[in-house]
Amino acid sequence: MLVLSRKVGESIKLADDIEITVLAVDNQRVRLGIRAPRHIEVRRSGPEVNVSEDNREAAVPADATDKTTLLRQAASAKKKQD
Amino acid sequence: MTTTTDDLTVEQALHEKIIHFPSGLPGFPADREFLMAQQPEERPFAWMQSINDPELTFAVVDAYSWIKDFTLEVDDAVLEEMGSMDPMDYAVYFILRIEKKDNRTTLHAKPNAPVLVNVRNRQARQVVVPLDSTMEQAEALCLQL
Repeated sequence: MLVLSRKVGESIKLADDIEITVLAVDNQRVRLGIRAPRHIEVRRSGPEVNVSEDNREAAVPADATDKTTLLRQAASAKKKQD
Repeated sequence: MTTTTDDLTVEQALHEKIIHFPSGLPGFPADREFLMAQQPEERPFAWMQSINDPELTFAVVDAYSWIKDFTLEVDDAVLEEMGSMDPMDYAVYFILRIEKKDNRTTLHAKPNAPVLVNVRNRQARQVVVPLDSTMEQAEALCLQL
């Protein structure tokens, strides 16, 4: 890992077309401005967020037999809960 | 657009329920089009079925029905890319994880990764939102059947 120090208002460049600027520092929170081409996807990441893994776990098994009734049961359970 | 035959009407109705993930669904990059299937009595829940792989299905729920005071903060750049800056143009869903244990079924939502759908152009995207304390509580929210 490369470690750099930047002051507020300073930036770093990745390759030719990605620029990351430190906009503000407030206690534990850093605000970053990111300038990048549209096709570059910018994601927050952290140990608590692994959307891909969560989605894989949420995929309903192809052999699930109760698909026709499950959401109906869910809807009435939700109504009771409310 | 007007249609003349029943077949076309059905096809069009089907088409209107298809949502498009331009960059795929995280974890399933090849699955970019999903059919939102919902019977009236299943509301606010629905099935989200991949067009590419009919065996790939997710249970989803309307976010605002699942969490009463749900609020969402999304970067303007994301909304702009999805084709509308108007919050009223968006439906928001949570993908549910279905857990079966000892004959009990529990549905778990993931409020940190809602699916946004621009209902005008059917563009969809799963966004990651920061977890604040209310979200953390909401994540524990589950429904037992």
